[in-house]
Amino acid sequence: MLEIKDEGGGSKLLSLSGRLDANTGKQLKEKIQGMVDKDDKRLILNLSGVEFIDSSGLGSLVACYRLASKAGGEIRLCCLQETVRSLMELTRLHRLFEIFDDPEAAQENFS
Amino acid sequence: MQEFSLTLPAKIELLSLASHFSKEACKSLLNSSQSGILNDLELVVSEAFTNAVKYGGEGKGKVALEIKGDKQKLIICMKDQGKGFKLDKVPEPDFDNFAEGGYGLYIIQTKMDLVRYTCFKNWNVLHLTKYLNENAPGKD
Repeated sequence: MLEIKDEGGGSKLLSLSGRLDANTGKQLKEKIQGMVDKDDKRLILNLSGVEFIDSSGLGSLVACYRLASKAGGEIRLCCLQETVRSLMELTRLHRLFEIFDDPEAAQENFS
Repeated sequence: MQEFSLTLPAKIELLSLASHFSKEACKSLLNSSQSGILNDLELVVSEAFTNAVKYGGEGKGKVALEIKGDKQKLIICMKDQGKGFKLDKVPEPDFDNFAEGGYGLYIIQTKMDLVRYTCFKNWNVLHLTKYLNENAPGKD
């Protein structure tokens, strides 16, 4: 189960919790597509509640990044748990994203 | 050797069930000092189950998961009924272009000590071994 909570704000902060894998990644992609369609193009994904991620989950983050980029937007990540950070480094996908320790730092980076 | 098994329809909706089953099975096979590898084993099962469903024909067949172990090693077998593949023909992930997929087998090979793939009576079997101590037979 993946829960996505829209925290609002100038740029949109989404808090994710649960598992991010081949089964739940499509939920995330649909949510991001919906937001990009509504012209929300500055997105921060708070991953502090993501307790498990696999390569399909990472793939969904890459897909979201590309959805936003294609529309002229940007996605930042923040609050990665160690298991998430470690898998991101193993797959070298940490080089694609801008990653911050907390939502405030990600928010400031957009300013 | 203690053994746990679970057979499920090849549906990606059942991934979290397979993952939960594997985590509990591994927990009961490992002692407290080995619990640090639980996350890796859960990850490996998630990758293997996803591939089994994806390439085994989602919704068509079954996926069978077996987990067994002793003090020396822990073995995970993921079986599917798809067309199968050649382990040595699977390409490396496309790291330079930040590919959305293609990391599964790479992750499995990184996290496990021994990866074998066989076909037996309509089943493709991915055998994954994790040695639990440095002196285990077969450990390099």
